Amino acid sequence: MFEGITAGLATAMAWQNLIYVIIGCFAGTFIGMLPGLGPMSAIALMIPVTYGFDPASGMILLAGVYYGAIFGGSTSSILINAPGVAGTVATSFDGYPLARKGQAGKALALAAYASFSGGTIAAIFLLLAAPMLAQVSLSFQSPDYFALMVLGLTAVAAFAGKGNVLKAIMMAILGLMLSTIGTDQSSGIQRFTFGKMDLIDGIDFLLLAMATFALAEALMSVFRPDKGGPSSDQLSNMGSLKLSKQEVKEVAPTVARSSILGFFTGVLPGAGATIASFLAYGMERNLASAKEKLGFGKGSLKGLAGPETANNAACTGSFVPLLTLGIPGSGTTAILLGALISYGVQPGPRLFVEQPEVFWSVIISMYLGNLVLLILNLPLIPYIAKLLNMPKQILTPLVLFFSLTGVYLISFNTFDIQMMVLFAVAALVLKLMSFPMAPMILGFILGGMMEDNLRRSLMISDGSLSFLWERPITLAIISIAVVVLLVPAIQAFRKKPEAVEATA
Amino acid sequence: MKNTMNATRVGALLFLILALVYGYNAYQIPLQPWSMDEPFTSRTLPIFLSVIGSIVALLMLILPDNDAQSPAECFSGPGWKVTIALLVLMSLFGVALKPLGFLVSTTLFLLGGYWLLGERRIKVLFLASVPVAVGLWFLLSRILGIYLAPGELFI
Repeated sequence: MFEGITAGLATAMAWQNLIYVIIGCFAGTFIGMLPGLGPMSAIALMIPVTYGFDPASGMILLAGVYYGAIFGGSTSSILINAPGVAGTVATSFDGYPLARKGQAGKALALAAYASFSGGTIAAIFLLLAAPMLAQVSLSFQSPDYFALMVLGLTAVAAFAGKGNVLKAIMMAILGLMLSTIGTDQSSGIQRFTFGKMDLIDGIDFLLLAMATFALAEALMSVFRPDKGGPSSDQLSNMGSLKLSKQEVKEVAPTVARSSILGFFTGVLPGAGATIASFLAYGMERNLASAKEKLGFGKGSLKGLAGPETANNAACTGSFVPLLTLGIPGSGTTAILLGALISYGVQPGPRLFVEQPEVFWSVIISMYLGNLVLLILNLPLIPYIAKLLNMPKQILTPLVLFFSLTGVYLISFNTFDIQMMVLFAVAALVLKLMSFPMAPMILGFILGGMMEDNLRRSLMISDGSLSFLWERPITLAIISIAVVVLLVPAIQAFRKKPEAVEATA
Repeated sequence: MKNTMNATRVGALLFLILALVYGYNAYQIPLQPWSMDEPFTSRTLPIFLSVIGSIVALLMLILPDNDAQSPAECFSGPGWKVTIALLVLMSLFGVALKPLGFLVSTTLFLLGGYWLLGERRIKVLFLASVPVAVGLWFLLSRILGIYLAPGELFI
């Protein structure tokens, strides 16, 4: 294990990888700041840049983009109350009021420190937890993997929020359906290609991710423009970036609590940064004294530090299932998994054994990414924020253009561009009906692996579904999946009568 | 139930149709003769997905959903014309790439995009498009050595 760590350290510290972390963080911060574009779009937009890199460098850059995008989202939440990312919505509750009071600088600094601490503490947890989990998962067999993927998909659906569970399940199924297009890997039979040569290799994951995230999100901002952009006044008048000792003391316990909460929420399949940040906000408000409670929503430092810490810790936590099991727990990690696969790396327990330098260098550069955000990004925020003043009529066509060419320059097939337009239209329509996109991309990425493991399981058990309960691990995972799925349903039924009473 | 045909139901109905069409096509997947009796074939997962998908879509159609908006509310946005125009422009970009080549089609796409979104200053229109296209073309073809085929019209 220590050899792996030293190899990873050497890789992560190589000068070009250090530069990639920095580039990734900056690019991520910038893209994440643009209202409407979240980390998934940011990562998708940056993937074409990383083709041709070795896997470790590619992942290092993308991990930087991920952190940068979350931080960029926090920045726009605080400055202009327009969270670019769902994970930073909770940040705007107290961050924006602080900015309104002329303490934007303090809010940003606190966000950066909180993110840094959350990321650091979670990186230590990751360092300890990932190898252990990788060891355990070496004993996993096909039925267990199949069960885990079912759990991943149901969990994403279950956490989609009230009223959206069915929609999320539908989107996950849609993703699985899309993944069956192309040549069946095991039999060589073409499925759903309708005789089209362009579909024989199936749909490229980057194409789908780019069309349903970057394109759809950019078009959405045209379809329903936000009211009023940032005023240059807000961007230039940030106030001091310093925190007093008293304030640091005040938020320290919050940061500690939220890191732990965030990390474990991130590890859970389906949860992730958004839920972690809301949970942390809720926790802090519940723990606060009656007097402090009044401050929440009006610029409470604790209310800002909690979600900021938790969302970064959750980002780190979400790498645990990705790296150890090869199963992404969220839309963002699904896109990262797609990138890894296209580099020719198959994440999972064997990654830890066979390519420890990839495994460890990603973990170590996550830590470096946090450091870069704190040391380089924070002081530069006022300048990066100026870029938000770039007119939208220039920015949007550029985003569209880079999405299209990012995909085109890999395949040199103009059919891909038309397919992207088609997917963008579909995604836009689905978005308008508030169908979530993340379960779709997760289903799409997991589709191939799920079919593989299902086939092996069914072959072993000779066509009987008994593989689902024969092994205790499989049974346990499947049971959790069922519970996760049923809880929101039961809650919905329970709530109905109360709601009726309330209106009566 | 006042809004029987809300946006969620429209989505569910579309999805039901999709799942059924998908299921029909799944039965059309050719199988190798020897794999007919195997427990798992190329059809297994698609058929399963079609069944589950139909059930979920039906559930969604049946279950009450009070929060949903009407389709009209859902699909209205001040920028719908521009959005459609941008989609058409993107598609045209794909059509133009082969005959016009990377440089010209990129410049035209960016010009068109800026113009559609309301940029009318000639100077800005050209300064934000031509240098981007030329710079990117230079980076890709001269520095990274990626072969970008010249427009077929110009050969």
